[in-house]
Formats: sequence, C-alpha cells, structure tokens
Amino acid sequence: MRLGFATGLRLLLHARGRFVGALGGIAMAVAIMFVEAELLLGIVDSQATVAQLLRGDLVAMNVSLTNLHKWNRLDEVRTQQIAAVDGVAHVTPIYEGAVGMRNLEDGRIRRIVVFAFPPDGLPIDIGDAAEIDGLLKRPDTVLFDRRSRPIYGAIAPGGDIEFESKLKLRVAGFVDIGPDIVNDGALVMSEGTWLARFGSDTPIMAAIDLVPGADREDVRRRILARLPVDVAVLTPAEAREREIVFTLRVAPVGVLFAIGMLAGLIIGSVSCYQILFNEVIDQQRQYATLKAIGGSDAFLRRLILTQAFVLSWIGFAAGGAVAWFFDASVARTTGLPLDLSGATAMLVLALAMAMCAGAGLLAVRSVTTSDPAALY
Amino acid sequence: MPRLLVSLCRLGRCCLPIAAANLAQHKVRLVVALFGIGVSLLLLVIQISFLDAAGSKVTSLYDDFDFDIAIVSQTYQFLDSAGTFDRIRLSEARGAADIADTFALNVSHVIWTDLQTKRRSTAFLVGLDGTGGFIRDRALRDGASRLGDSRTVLADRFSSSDFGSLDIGTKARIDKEDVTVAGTFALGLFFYADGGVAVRNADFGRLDRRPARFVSIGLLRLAPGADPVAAKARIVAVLPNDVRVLLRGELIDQERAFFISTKPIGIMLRTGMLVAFLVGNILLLQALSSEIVNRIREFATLKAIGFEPAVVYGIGMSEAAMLAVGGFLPALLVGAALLRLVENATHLPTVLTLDLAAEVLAIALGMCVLSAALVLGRVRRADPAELF
Repeated sequence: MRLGFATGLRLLLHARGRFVGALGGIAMAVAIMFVEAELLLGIVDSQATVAQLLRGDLVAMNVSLTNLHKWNRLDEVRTQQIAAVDGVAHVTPIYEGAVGMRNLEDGRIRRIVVFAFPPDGLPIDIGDAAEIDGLLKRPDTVLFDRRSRPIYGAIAPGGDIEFESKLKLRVAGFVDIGPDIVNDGALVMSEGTWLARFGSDTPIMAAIDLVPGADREDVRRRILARLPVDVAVLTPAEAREREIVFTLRVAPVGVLFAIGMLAGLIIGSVSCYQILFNEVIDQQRQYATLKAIGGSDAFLRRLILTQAFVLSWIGFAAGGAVAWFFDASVARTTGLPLDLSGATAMLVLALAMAMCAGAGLLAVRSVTTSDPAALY
Repeated sequence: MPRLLVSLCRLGRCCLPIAAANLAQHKVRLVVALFGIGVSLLLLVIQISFLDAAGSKVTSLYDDFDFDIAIVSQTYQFLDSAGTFDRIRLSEARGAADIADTFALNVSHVIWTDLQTKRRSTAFLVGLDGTGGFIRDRALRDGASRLGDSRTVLADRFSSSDFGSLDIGTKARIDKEDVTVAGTFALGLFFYADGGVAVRNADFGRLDRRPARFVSIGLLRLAPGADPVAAKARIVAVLPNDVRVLLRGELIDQERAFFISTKPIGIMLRTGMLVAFLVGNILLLQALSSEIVNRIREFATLKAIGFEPAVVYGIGMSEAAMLAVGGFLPALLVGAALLRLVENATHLPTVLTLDLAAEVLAIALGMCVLSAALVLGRVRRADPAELF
C-alpha cells in the first residue's frame, strides 16, 4: 500500500512542468465550480434577506404574498384574530415600507426600506433584542442597518436622518440586516413612529409566538380553521424555503445563475476528467513496464488513485483560494452574503475527486487489459 | 504574394492530412479532448452572452426612443434612480440649440394589483408625452396613440405572471386608482420591478402623485444636419447645473456601466464572465497543449528524418486548429439552443450573435496558436534524439 502511494507520488512529480500544468488545470476547474455555485447561492440567499432573519414559531402573511418582495398586506384584524387562537402567546405585527432618504453628503434621495414593529419582543433577528427594544421605545427614533450599501452617506448615532418629505428623525443606534438583490439598505423604527410619521399602514407579516408546550402543527391548523382563506401561516424555515424556490423557478436572475452554476459544474468535472485521462495515457509506457516486471493490476490502480487524489486535493486547495478571492471581492462590492459554504466545498471536492479517479481508472484499463509488450 | 499563397497551399496539402490522421489515431482521446475544449468554449459563449444581454436589457427602454441628446437631473444615477428636474429646462434647451422636438419621459415605481387574484406586484411606471413621434418601438407607439381616456394604460407583456391577464379591456389597479389595459408592449425590465406599465404623462402625475412640472428624463431630437456635440455644448452653457446633458451614446454607456459595476446582479454577472473567461482560456490551453505534447515524439521523428521545420510546425498548428474548430462547432450549436431556452424563460435578449460567435472563435484560435507555439518551441529547441 505504502509502496503504491510513494511510487504514485514519484510518477506525478517526475515531470515537474506537466505536474504544475495539470494542477493548474484542476485548480481552475475547481475555481469555476466554486464561483458559479457561490454566485447562485448568493442570489438565492439574498432574494429577500429578511426571510433569513424571521424569528418566532410561525409567521402569518397574506396568501397572495408569493414572495417577500411583493406588497400584499395582512388585514389588520387578522393579527387580533390570530392572537385569540388557543396556544398563541403573542403576535407581533411587522410593517415594511420603502421611503426616500436623503444622503446629506451629496443631497441625493435614495430608496431605503423601513421595517417597523412594536418594541416588545423583536420579530426579526437583527441584534440584541433588549437593547433594540429599549432604543425603539424612545419616540421618533430610527435604527440604521449598518450593513446597508454605502450610498446613504455617513450615519452616526445621535445624528439625524432626513427623509424625502423633509421630515427628520434621530438615529439611536444600529442593527444588522444586510442588503439584498432588491433593497440597498434598511431602517428600523417602532410601530408608533412608523404609523404616526408615515401615515396609516397595515402589517406585511405577523410573527407568532406560541405558549410553551403548544404543538406548532395543532396551532397552525387552528389558526387556518378559524381565519378566512386570505392568510397563509408558515414556519420561518418554510418562509425561507419559499423564497429559494421562488428565486430558482420564477425569478429570471435565478434562472441565469442556475444555468451558470450547471455549466460551471459540468465544465469543472469534464476538465478534471480530461486532465487525469491525459496524465495516465502519457505514462502508459511506465505502467506497462511496471506490469511487465510483475506489478499487479490492483497495484497499478492504486498508483492511479494516488495521483488522482493528490492532484484533486492540491487542485482543490488552490482553486478554493482563487474562488475565495473572487467571492470576497463580490461580497465586498455588493454587500451580499457570499461566503464559501461547507456544503458547496464538499460537493466540489467530491466531484473533483470522482472525476479524477474515474478518468484515471478508465485510462489505465488500456494498460491492464493489454499485453505489456504490445505497448512499446 | 501569389507565391506565398501557393507555398501556403502546398504546406496545407502536406500538413492537413497528417494532422487529421494524427488526431484520428486515438478515438477516445480525441473525443475527451474535444469535449473539454467544447465545454470551455460553451461556458464562454454562455457567460459573455449573459453579460451582454443584461447590458442591453438595462438600456432597452432608451432603445425604444429616437433622440440625440438627453437631459437628466443632477442626481440621476440610472433609470431606476433617475431623480427629477423642472420641465422648464427643456424649453430653455430648445432656445439654446437647433432642436426639432423635445419629449419628456417619466419613470417611477407603483404597485400593480391584479383584481382577479388580488396579488400586488411592483411595477415600473413609464410616463410618455402625448406626441408619439419619439417612440421607435411600434407596439409602444401604436399603443400610446390609443391611450385616450385617462384611465387607460399599456402593460408590459413580459411582466411577471402575477400581473394576471393583460388582454385589452382587463381592469386592474395601480396604487389606489382603477385602470384598464388598452394595449401591450414588450420590454421586460425585470431588473427594476416585477413588470412594466406605460401611461400618458398627463396621467403619470396622478398615479405617482408628482407635480406635472417635474420630469425624470428629457429627450431632445436635433434638427436634421445639426451637430450633436456642438448642440450639447451650447445646451450645457445655457442650463444651470441642476441638470446633466448627455449625448445618446453617453447616456447608454453610463447606464450599462452603472448596472454592471454597481448593481449586485451586474457585479455578479460580470464576475461570472471574468471567471469563465480566465478559466475557459486556461482549460482550453491545457486541453490543446496536452494533445500536442502527446505527439511530441512524432514531431521529433519528423524533424529527425529531415522534414522542414515549416512542415513540422504546420502539422502542429493544423492539429491545434482542428481541435479548436472541432470543439467550437458543437459548443456553438449547444450554446445557441441553450441561449434560446434562457431567452424564452427570462425574456433577456440572450441570442447567439455573429459577433459573439466570432469573438469566441477568435479566442479558440488564439489559444490554439499559443498552445501550439508553447509546445512546438520544445521540439525546435530539442535535439531529436533526446526526445525519445
């Protein structure tokens, strides 16, 4: 076994230039798989950032709100009807609106999204709940999403934000939400400030907390039975999943990036295959010699697999580094959450290893099935 | 010159059959190589076309209008964040240069409600001046002349299906106003909203609650024979600095540049293209050069038995070129089919243009020359005997 490994390595290192060439090729194949996959995941994850942040046991929304960038509102009375259902402890309405905010540095009006809710029990995971509730209890204050794209000018706690309508509100602190593919930034304010300053509105969703021990499915069934059919009740995980399905199936950009990813995975796999296939074919005579001096077919296969795995591991590391560089630059310029995920890494590594090993084993068949002497 | 051509022909007659026979010797290997080259080129075709398509999509509204110079607000970033300026600037510009006509375009976001399903979607609202003469797109121009009564709108056929039926006569709601569809056009501005609606500027103000004095984009058409650059300079000299004056080409270039360098989708498409370009080229080089490296002994033999270097290189180059073209043709076919599917699914103009095909073929041939030169350089330098 050890002999197989050592010999495999020496075969690989025998022609340095070639080894580097093959490694470069595999690294590039890995990089393209990574980058295309991460771009798709980035798009999918950032269809609606707020879907990732929902808290609570259940979320109620208008049944026509087929994705979170739609504007169907929840009938106001529904939140009270839901609160009256057995097993529901607490219902928090979430308001969402888009307003024009002035960048005080260049005077331009930029669109920004506002999330508003009552300051008791944060319905979205955007920072320390007690602290945010405390800040929101002060009237006429807003919290600024510190991960907004840098198009709103410098925002500091204690300073003012000026809206398109000339209204000014005081910045009390920061939250963490993050931009998505539609929205560039976000503000958070209390339900009271939102309704008093920007006119009447009805919530876009309601976060539902259950009493301890209540069964989620039972409560969901009771809510749906009690309320008219204009309400959908989802768990936060289902809401997230729905955004992903929407992006992949319906949204044109999802289609674009899904095709990019498929093309990336295919080209990456084919290239790994091609490189390993050539590696083995080129060393056919060495293998034939090994066979002629008594090496078993299993030994030859071990040699190939050693080379395939070493190439795919080093290529994976190098290609991953290249991909990381690209992802980091995209994440920096777009503000979207784009980081190499473990699942993608596993998929890419598995594909690279399988394609390398498969190609190597296929190519070595010409050695194992033939008479060594015929190969000269 | 004819002499060179004749000797090139002779060289070709001598090299091509040998190159073809060389390639045909190992069938499996040839298929693997062609497959690798083909997918590299396919990836290039797809990613370049996606980026081009997004670039032309973001300016498709401007493409529908016939104008030489545009006036936009000083705060204009791109179509979806246009800002507004006082309509009076258009009259001032008219006084400054030889202008045949002006046209005001308004853009904004509204909420479209399909009355059947009660679904509410964002819509990109476009306001058009009554004079339809500026509109190039036939559907939009015919439709604009039909926008008689103030409750009628034109709807974008490429809007999301949540817009519901867009047949003529369908009723819908924009924000809180009831409207009736009087016609359709085909734009598909899905980078900005779920769908699109066009109305007369007279109704735009009511739907968007914007004073009629303010407009988003002013389009100017010059009198026949007027020089756009000189006209622009005169207009700039007259207008205050609350507006910017751009030539048609400048507006379109800045629109594309903004989308591709600033909007997340544009950045991601550009990155996809960059990576595909980089990786595609390297993999192409790899696939081609390993094919030629494998033949190095054959080349050395030819050299040893006294063939002219031109013939030896000619064979190598021919092999590389055949591989490049052999991978290019299937990549083009598959690419064309795939891009057609994407076009149908997304309404992005992802068609395989002649330019794109030529660009990718040039890349393929360039890489084949480079790889052949890299490898054959070794044959040239080496003593034939050493290569065995």
